[in-house]
Amino acid sequence: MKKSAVIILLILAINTLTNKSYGQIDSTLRLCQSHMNLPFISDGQSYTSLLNGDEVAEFYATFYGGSIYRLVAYTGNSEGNIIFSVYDQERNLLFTNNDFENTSTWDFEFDYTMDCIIEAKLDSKYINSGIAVLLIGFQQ
Amino acid sequence: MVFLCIATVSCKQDKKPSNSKLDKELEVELDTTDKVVKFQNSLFSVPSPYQLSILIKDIGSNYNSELLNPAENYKLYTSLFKKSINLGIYGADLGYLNIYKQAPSAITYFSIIKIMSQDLGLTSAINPNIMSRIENNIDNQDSLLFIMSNLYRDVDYYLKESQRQREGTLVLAGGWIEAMNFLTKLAIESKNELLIQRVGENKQPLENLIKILSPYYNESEDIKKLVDDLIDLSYEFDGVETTYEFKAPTTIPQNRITKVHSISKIVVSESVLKTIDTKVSNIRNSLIK
Repeated sequence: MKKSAVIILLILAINTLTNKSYGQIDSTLRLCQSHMNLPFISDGQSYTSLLNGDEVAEFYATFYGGSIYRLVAYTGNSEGNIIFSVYDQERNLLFTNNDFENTSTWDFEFDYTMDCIIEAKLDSKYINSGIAVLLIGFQQ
Repeated sequence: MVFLCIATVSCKQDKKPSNSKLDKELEVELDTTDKVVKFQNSLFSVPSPYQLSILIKDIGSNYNSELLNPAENYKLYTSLFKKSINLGIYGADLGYLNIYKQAPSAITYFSIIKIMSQDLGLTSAINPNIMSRIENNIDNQDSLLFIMSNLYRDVDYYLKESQRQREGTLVLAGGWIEAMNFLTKLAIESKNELLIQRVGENKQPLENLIKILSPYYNESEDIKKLVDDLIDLSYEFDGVETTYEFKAPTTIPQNRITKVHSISKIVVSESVLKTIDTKVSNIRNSLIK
């Protein structure tokens, strides 16, 4: 009887935590979306990664030449907690928002098509764990 | 789990050696170190099919209804696999129709998307207002593309959230395959350099797609065949010549923009283009039956 009660409590706890996490992602996603308005159009995907401490998430993306893109990255509901950096295929740094007070939004114009790697990590000065949400949009 | 899937994929390829470039890349990319987190499969991006359709229109190609998956085909799709992948295909078709301002057909395709979304249990993923917004904006190109992209992103998010990443990945795959079918057909027909180049530029997105689908390789014969076919297609992209030269980017803080000047050049020979087109068509045609 006791064992069953413990299992039920554990399931309830896991469900509560899971729902809380998704609720958190949901509100972060809406926040990201508020920066992705016309003329920018979403690429139709949502990129999420659970980060702890100094872990780094990597996002692989192709950006077409002659196009302007917008990246939006948040964790939680406030700006400045996440550091994102864009590298080319040879790992040359193209941009890091850390140079601009960890701004959540930045635009990129590509002369030629490029395969890039976007790295995202938490700024340990402000936060130790969280779910990073990244959106990519292109300008029509 | 992922490594097992990839190993299986590699063994299936008797046409090419198992230690091919692609296999090596897959192993490297999917390796997990203590500093790099791999969360689900959402870390590999596939460009929006709408972006390719916009390019196709911009270069002056005429509207061609024969490029689309016929509307009546939706009745053929009874399996979860076919429904998911064709939801992506019809989504790309709707984008194409919208870009060419084909409002009556767009309404038909939108109705099919609505039915298929319901069949897939995606009703709760979709904001009730979004359907009426789409209906009200069916002839407004900018708004419809914006709303549809958000709708597909919401579906992507919902499927991930509800542990149905496989269907989400199939929707994504359908959209990419359909857009590539438009692209390769029109590149051959028009011989337009930009379109031909864009075909070659989809080498990395194809590899990303394979990586996203690979964890589901052993889950069904349909997915196994799709992944095998995409890997077979990816070998043709080895014939695409690429060069890359890094140039320092320019960042303009007041405009919050970075201009990236690095130069990449892509050469796709006529024979490589034709082979890619044939393989894309075969994959796509097997999916819409």
